[in-house]
Amino acid sequence: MRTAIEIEKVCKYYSRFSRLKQFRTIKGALVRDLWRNSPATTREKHTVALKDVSLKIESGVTLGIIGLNASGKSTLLRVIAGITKPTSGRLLVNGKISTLLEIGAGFHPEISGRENVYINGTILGLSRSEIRSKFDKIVEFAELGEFIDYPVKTYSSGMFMRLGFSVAVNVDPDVLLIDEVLSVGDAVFAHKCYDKLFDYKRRKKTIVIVSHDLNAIRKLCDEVVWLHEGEMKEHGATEQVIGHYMEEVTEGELARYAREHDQNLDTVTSNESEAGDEFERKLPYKAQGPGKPVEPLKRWGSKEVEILSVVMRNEKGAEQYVFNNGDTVFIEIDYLAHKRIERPIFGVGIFRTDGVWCYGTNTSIDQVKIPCIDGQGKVVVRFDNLALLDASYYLDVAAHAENDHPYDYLNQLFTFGVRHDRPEMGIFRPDHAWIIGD
Amino acid sequence: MKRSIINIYKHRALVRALVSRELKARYRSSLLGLFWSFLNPLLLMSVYVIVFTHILRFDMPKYASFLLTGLLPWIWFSSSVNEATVSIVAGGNLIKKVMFPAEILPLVSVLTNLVHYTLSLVILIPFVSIYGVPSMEKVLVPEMMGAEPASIFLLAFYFIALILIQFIFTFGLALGLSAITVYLRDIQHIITNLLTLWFFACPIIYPITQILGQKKLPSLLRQIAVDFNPITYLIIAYHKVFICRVSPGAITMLFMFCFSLLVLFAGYFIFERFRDSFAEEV
Repeated sequence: MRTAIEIEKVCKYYSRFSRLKQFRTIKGALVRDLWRNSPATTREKHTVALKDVSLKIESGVTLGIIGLNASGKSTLLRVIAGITKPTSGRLLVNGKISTLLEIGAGFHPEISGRENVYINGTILGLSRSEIRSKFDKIVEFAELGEFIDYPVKTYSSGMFMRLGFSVAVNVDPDVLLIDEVLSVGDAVFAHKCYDKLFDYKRRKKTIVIVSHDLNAIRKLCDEVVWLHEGEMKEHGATEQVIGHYMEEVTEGELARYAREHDQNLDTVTSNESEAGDEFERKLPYKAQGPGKPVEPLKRWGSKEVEILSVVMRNEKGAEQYVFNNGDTVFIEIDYLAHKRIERPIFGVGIFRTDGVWCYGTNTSIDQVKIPCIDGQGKVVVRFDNLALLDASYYLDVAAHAENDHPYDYLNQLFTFGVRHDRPEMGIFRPDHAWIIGD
Repeated sequence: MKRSIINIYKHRALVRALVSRELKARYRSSLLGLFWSFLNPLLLMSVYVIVFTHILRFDMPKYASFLLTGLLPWIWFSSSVNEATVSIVAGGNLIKKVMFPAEILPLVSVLTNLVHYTLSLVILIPFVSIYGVPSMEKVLVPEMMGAEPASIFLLAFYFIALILIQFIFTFGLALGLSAITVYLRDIQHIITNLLTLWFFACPIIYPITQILGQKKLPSLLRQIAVDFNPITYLIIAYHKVFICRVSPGAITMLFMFCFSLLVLFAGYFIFERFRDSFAEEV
């Protein structure tokens, strides 16, 4: 198969500061860059956008580029498009390239859609006669109707995007570069865009897509490149690379939640020294047992029973704050009862970060009887199948009396995450099955 | 340079589209539309005519013809430079998002204003012929009057040559300035003010006799305004063609042509030095 794009050891550095700040005088600014041989490579302070990226894209392949923000995806696309020159390395492109890095590049608001199609088309490399022959197709695809003769400034943003996308896909290049612009217009138009891209694929055109929308990448791409901090971490079959990528993302989030948890700890210790009137609270923290003290958003209650720490654990008993749908989760509550308390009730509540109460229960509802407590102790609640869908959640934990009198209520204690790789809708996932019959 | 010219030639359709975009966009949704191309210089001219014939009492019959002859090419020059200086900065999304030869942007500024200039000739030529022109002694100093009266065809040829020279000179300046402005945004403000100063240093609103006749003027200032001012040479040549109807002189023309080429090379040199990082710095 023919190679459409070949990149060899491409590096790209960006200077970290605007040049102006490095110069003291205008003369210095001019002389320095005019007489230096290669200003870009000799600059001392720079950000590495791409580092030794080598890549070969066969013609007819649809390649997805994924990675976290600032991993160099867009830079790589711009290098392929020839918009930015790589600092070092070699680039080879066969065939006509069309870029969809920005919808409607060169659109002028004052002039009509018709005239803008001609300008945008020429910018993307079409000749006037080519545009003329494709004009009706472009307008029809954009669903603009009579609006095509109105100034572009009167367009809704959806119309603007549709027209821009329509011109770009009708350029019919050998290589199409797309940066994060697949979510154009309403669902109907989005389907048309996908159809157009599938049509490209069928006709063995090369497509390179940068997107955070992994489902779009799954749908379209034959191969995926995963960039991480400017370096190519993996290049291979779509599912495999996305799988590894998701694993790492989950790990990163895990670390984030753990960090937040630790930060909460720090605020407690610093609050302690200042808050003299909270002498009562100080005591149990010093006397804490296993686990960590807590710092909820809001806390109220008479403190006869005090919650010392709350920890989430996975089925192996390790502390964890990101789970997969269906995991077994333990929520461990360490408490200290300052006096003998008859029939206390412990409860947990799970809220989505937008405030939706997803689930709440307590020992009384579940008819678990605790006769009495005194001193330190531990209550654990186990969820055998965490049926929540992909989102971040807040945890509330409370201890109260039978008559609802709160001993200690911890509101928005901390955040935990649930990951679920299927795009189901709603909050939770009841066990279900489909039965297909006549 | 050759590569760049080929590149521009390849993108000529784009240049045309962008120039027509600029022309259309400028007067879109104004009642008089393209008519403003004529009206603007006329109005500006009226202001100067009122000031200089009625308030400052300039001793020159048919002053309006003289003024218009120099003012129109100046407007072409100064608007081009003003617009071109910011053209790359303003065209940022094109440079960042599309493979696009950047030199097209300053070129479009210069060409768009050239179109305005040619349109305004529709006024200048009838105006000068109907209203009449001042006598040569009022416009030129004696040592400049030597040239032979020229036929209308020769004058037309000289005029077209002058446009070419001014185009090359302006484009060279536009290239250099547009590139530097990407890194030093201060340039655009400096240029705006510098152009005002430059305007008054050229024999546009006053004849060259005013400067050369001023015995009190320090010679350095005079040299800057007359000898080292390329626009002065251009304007005098325009005066010769339109008002005195004499040849501006083949040697002078050749000299001006070489000088403008020099400016173009210099501008292109600066532009080439900076172009690779436009996409990052815009």
